[in-house]
Amino acid sequence: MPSGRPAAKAADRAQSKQQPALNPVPRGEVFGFMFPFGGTVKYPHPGIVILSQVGLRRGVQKVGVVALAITHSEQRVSWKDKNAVVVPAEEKAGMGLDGNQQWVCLFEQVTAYFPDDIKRIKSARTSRLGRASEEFSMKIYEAWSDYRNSR
Amino acid sequence: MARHIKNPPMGLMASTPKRRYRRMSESKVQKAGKVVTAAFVMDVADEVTAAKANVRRKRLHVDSGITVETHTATAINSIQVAIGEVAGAASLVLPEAAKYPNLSTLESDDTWHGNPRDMPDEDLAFFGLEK
Repeated sequence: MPSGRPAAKAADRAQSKQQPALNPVPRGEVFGFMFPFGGTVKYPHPGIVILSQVGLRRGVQKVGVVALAITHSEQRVSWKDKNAVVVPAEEKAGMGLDGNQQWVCLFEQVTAYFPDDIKRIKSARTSRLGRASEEFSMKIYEAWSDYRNSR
Repeated sequence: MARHIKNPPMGLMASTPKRRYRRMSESKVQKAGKVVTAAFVMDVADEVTAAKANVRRKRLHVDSGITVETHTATAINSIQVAIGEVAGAASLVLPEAAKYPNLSTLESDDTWHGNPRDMPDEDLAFFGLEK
C-alpha cells in the first residue's frame, strides 16, 4: 500500500467504508491467463503470479497482479541471457500442471488489475490451478527481476 | 572366361571390387545424411525463430541451398527420414491452442501484455518498481 500520502490515505479510508478490504494475491499462485506471445491471437496458458499489490489505479482501489506465462514449447535456457526457467518435476503437482516438461517464460508477462478481491471474482475459482512452493516462487521472482533489469 | 571388372583387384588377396565400392558409397551416404541433417536443422531453427508461428516444410533441393551428391537411392531415403524428424521437432514451437485445452482463464478488462522490460511507467509506479 502506498504510504505517506494523506490524500490517498483519506481516499482509501473512504473507499474501505464502501467496499470490503482488498488483498494482494500471494506470490506463486497459478491461474489460467490469456497470453499472446507476441502475436495478435491470445491463447490460454497457466500463469504464475510473481507480484501483487493493492493500490490506486486511475483513482480506483484495485488489486494489481503480475504473472508470467508457462508453456510446453521448448525454451532456450542459457546462463548468459536467461529468458526461461524449467519447472521442476516436484513443483508440477502443487502448481496444477501436467507432467510434460514446461518452462516459465521470463519474457511473457501479463499485468492485470481487478476491482474486487480476487477471492470474490467468479473466474478466479475456476481458473485457479494451484501454487508453487515459496522457494520456487522466489526463484522466479528473482529471475524476472534480473531479466527486467538487464539490458 | 573373361570377367568384366570395374575396379581391377589390387592383388590376389583383395576383396571383390563390387563389395568395396558399395561400402564406400554407404559411408558417403551416411556422412551426407548427417551433414544434411545438421545443416537442415540449423536452417530450420533460424527460420522458426524468425517466423515464430509459421513453419513451412522445406523442400531440400529448392529452398535450403544445400547440394547433395548422391550415388544411390539409399542416400535420398536417409535424408527424407531426417527431414521427417526435423519437421516433427519444429512443430513444438507452433501456437499452443491445443496444448492447454479447456483451461479457464482469469480475465480482467484492465490488462497489459508484453515483455517485462517494456512495462509502462504507470504500472511500474503502481508496483513501486524502478525503471
